[in-house]
Formats: sequence, C-alpha cells, structure tokens
Amino acid sequence: MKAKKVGIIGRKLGMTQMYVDGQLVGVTVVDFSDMILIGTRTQDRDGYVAAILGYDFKGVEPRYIREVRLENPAIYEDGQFLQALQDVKYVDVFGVMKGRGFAGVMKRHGFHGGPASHGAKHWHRRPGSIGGHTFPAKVWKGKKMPGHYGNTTVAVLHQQLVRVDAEKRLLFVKGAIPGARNSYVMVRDSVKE
Amino acid sequence: MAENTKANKLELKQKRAEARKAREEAIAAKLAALPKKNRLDEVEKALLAEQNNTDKFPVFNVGDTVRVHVKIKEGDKERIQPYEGVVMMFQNAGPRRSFTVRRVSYGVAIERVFPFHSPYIAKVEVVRRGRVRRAKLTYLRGRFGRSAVLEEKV
Repeated sequence: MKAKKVGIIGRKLGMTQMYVDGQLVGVTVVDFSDMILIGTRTQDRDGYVAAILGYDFKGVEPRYIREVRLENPAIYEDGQFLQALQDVKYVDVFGVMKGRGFAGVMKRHGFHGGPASHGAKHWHRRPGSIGGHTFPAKVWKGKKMPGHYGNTTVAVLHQQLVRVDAEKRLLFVKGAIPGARNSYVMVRDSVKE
Repeated sequence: MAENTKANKLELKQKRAEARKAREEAIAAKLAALPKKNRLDEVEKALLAEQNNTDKFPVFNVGDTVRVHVKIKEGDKERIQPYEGVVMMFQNAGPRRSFTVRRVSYGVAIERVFPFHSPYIAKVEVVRRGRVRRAKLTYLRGRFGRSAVLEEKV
C-alpha cells in the first residue's frame, strides 16, 4: 500500500454507533493496538522506501505483515505516526471482502433477472441472452456471467475518520469498510483529500 | 570471504542466532510498551461512559405512559417539545439501546423510536404505570381507544 502521510494496518473490530457533533452516526472500529515497525525498505538496498509493519503478534511473530510505501518510515519508531493521524480527516480502507462463492449474475453483476410472475417459468434469476446468432456468432470476451464473487481485496475511498484514540490505538471510521468482523484491514490517509 | 570450514560455519550460525535474538528482544520491548488488544464490547462500554442517560431518567418500563421532552434545533434556536405515549418496547444493545413510544394523535398512531442515550432527550416523565405481561407490546398495533388502554399498575 502506498500512503501520502501515514498508513495503518489493523483489524476490523465491527460496527457501532456514536455521536459526532450531535449526530448519531454508524462507525466501524479498527484496532491497531500492537502494530509495530519490524523493518524498512531503503532506496539503496531495495530500490524503494517503505515501512514493514507487523500486527497481531503471537509471541514475537506477527500474524499480519504489510509494507506501507511512504517517504519517512521513521515516523513509526517513536509514535510520530499517531500525531500524523490526528491531522487526517478522510481515509481509504483496504480489506478482503466477504466471499460469496459461485454467484449468479443478479448478485454478481446486478442484473435484473426475470419476472416473478406473469407466466414466467423457471426464468427468475437467469442472465438472458448472451449474444447474437448470425453476428457476432460468438460470445464477446468479458461478457458478464456467473462465477466466483468476493474474497478479493477491495478499497473504500474517502471515508470520514471520525475519531482517533491514540491511547487505546483505535480508529473510528464513518460507514462500512470491506471484510468480515475480525478481518485484517489497511488504512491510509485518503488520496482524494 | 571466510573459508568454508566447520569452525567458520559454527561461528556464522552463532552470529545469526545472536542477531535473531536481538531482533526478537527489540520486538518484545516494543510490544511491552503497547496497550492491550481491544475488543468491541469494551469499546462500546467506553462509548457508553461518554454518553449515558441511565441516571438522568426515572426508571420506566414497557407499558408505562411517558412524556419524553425532545430538544429540537431550529437554526440556532433550541426548543423542547414533549411527546407523550405508551412505551411499547426496549431494544437493548449497550450504548445503542433504544425504546419505542406509541402515541395516537388525530386518529393516527405514531411509533417513535428514541435512542435511549441520546443527548437530544432533555428528560423523561412517567405519567402512568401500566401493568403488562409482555416485553414487547406489539399487540397494541391496530388498537385504538379503550382497547388500547392498559390496566394501571397498583
């Protein structure tokens, strides 16, 4: 992940509600309690600069390791990144979306399916025609069809960062973020800001 | 380049082990300084501590007729509007707890859901205590007039 100012790796704890400027909003809580810097990439040695972060430690072994490319990896050494987080208003969140298995075209591509009644026989969730007969006499490549859906990395851009709890190491992001509860996520300051 | 002897290999192995140990100790030291892992229920508890109306309201239950004083903002002005009706149910969910109040005005029944810990509820008054044998009074729906009046609790 590439970040402008600061990137965080952590875990999606789940959703709850809180009052922000007197308004009740739904927030997703992201925990990064034991995220630490475990190494760096340098221009001389690796050809690019990045911080290697570890999270969710079992003993001294992190279960989740990700690189964050940013100008100054040293901000993770002495808590400077917490300071940087305080200035962030909007974030992008990356996570692995819930797997949906082999999904039909209605779920996977938002097709409308067929009528529920009016004489429809076994024609409710089908994709319909997939191409012409004489021309093109084949199915175009990339035709939207049923298949595996989900379980891929998805980004949600420009979500409001409602609160940063530097002491407990929690982020409160407005709205939903990808993934199941307790799944790993990456957060960075938004590219759209 | 050192010679590929048994002694050299052993030395290299030792060095690597030391470096690894130092690395692990550094990580352990960093981890020791960090807060413990968070759990969502604890986070919600902390949120509840920030905004908690439990002590602000009198104890009221399902079946009670209550007057809820709601703060309403109009521009910069703030006024209080009372809303009176029967408490139909509580939805208990930690800081997200809410309650539903049913009121019949001009022949139309209104069910309004209030977040229990909302800062917009100025106060709650208990007007009448009702005797009920259900936790959720959904049977009141569609009832008007006398059939919707609950027995008073003595």
